[in-house]
Amino acid sequence: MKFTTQQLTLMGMLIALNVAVGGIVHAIKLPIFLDAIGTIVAALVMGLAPGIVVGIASFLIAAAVLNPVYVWFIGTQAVIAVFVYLFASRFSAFKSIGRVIPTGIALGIIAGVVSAPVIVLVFGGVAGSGRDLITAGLISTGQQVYKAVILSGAASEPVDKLLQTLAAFYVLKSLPKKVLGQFRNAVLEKNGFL
Amino acid sequence: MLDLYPPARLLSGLLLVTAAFLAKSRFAIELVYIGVLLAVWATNVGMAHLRFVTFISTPLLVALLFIWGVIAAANHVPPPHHSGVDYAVFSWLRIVVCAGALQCLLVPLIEQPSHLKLFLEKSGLAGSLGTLIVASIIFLPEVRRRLRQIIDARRAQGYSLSGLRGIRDLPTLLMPLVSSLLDSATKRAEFWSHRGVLERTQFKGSPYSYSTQPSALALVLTIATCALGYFG
Repeated sequence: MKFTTQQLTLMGMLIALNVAVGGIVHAIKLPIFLDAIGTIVAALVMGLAPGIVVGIASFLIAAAVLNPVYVWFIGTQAVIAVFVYLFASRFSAFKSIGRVIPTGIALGIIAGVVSAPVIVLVFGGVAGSGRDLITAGLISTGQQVYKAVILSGAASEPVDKLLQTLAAFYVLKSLPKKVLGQFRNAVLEKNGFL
Repeated sequence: MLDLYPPARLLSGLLLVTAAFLAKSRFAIELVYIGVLLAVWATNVGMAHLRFVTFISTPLLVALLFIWGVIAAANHVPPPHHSGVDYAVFSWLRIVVCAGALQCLLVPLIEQPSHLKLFLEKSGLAGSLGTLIVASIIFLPEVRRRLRQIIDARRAQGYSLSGLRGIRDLPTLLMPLVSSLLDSATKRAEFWSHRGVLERTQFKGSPYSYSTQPSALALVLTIATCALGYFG
């Protein structure tokens, strides 16, 4: 895997963005995670491999500086990068708001399903968030724990991931063409950012 | 406190995480936790671990007790072993053990980027990925400072930036930040290329001396911890 110096510096900054935004959003009490915004921007601006690297490295560093729990979700970050890149490159999923909304919801469902095995095997079925109430509600209706965690993830993650994809869309749309033009690629052009 | 050889540090951390998953009973995981607490003490990450146990893992314990001790028990959903409360405590201990092991591995490295760079080189993870991780840690305070400045400026303009209204104003918060990062990345890349920062071998010698005996001892202790977890 060989990256240009420009890619490496931007990747470093987007990793720092993921970690910094995740920490500060928590501090100013926004009811979302926002821990994948740098991953989504990296996948759109630089492509698949930089997106995956930004996602994985962000959570490794967040595990060291914020909370060691992050390290278990590096797989989810990689899946987010793959999903965003594939949908943006194949289906122009970031071309308009009408396409971003279903993309964000689908990304949330995928992220919820992918993180479910980690939550069950490592955390005994809890995520330490409001999602646990949905899990508890589903178990009380007779669902098995694994199924309850998958369903609670698929129910709660879409809101967070939809907001993150919308934020990434608005940010890239409102950037001056001159700034984004330095990272010209097929995905940015296909999705109307350039 | 312990200047472990990088591969020994990496292996010890991973073995301690493995020990958490090898442990099958509450007694076994408690034994493993004693081993992890020794490692926490030896690597000077006691405060970070205490913060994790107090502020992050406690809500997880409450959620585990609620789900396994109350909801699952009331609905006759069987826990993987023993009683619901026992499984909740077992799961919590496993989370705490894994967190302690990862803190021993990661926290001392993050505090010293030069040590991290050397650690990555000695562990066979050098090259652009190593540089990237070190660069991210160097950029982190700068990105945090910029974000704080933008938040302060937005608040001065009357944006609330908290709760549901904060979500609506999120793009106005992120746009100047991402814009400045993209711009700054290009300028910094030109500077780095010009100065040959990425090609330069920055750490020819060891910035601190590694000790063979503590490294060997750490490995023996972590293997013993794994064995205790498995047979305990």
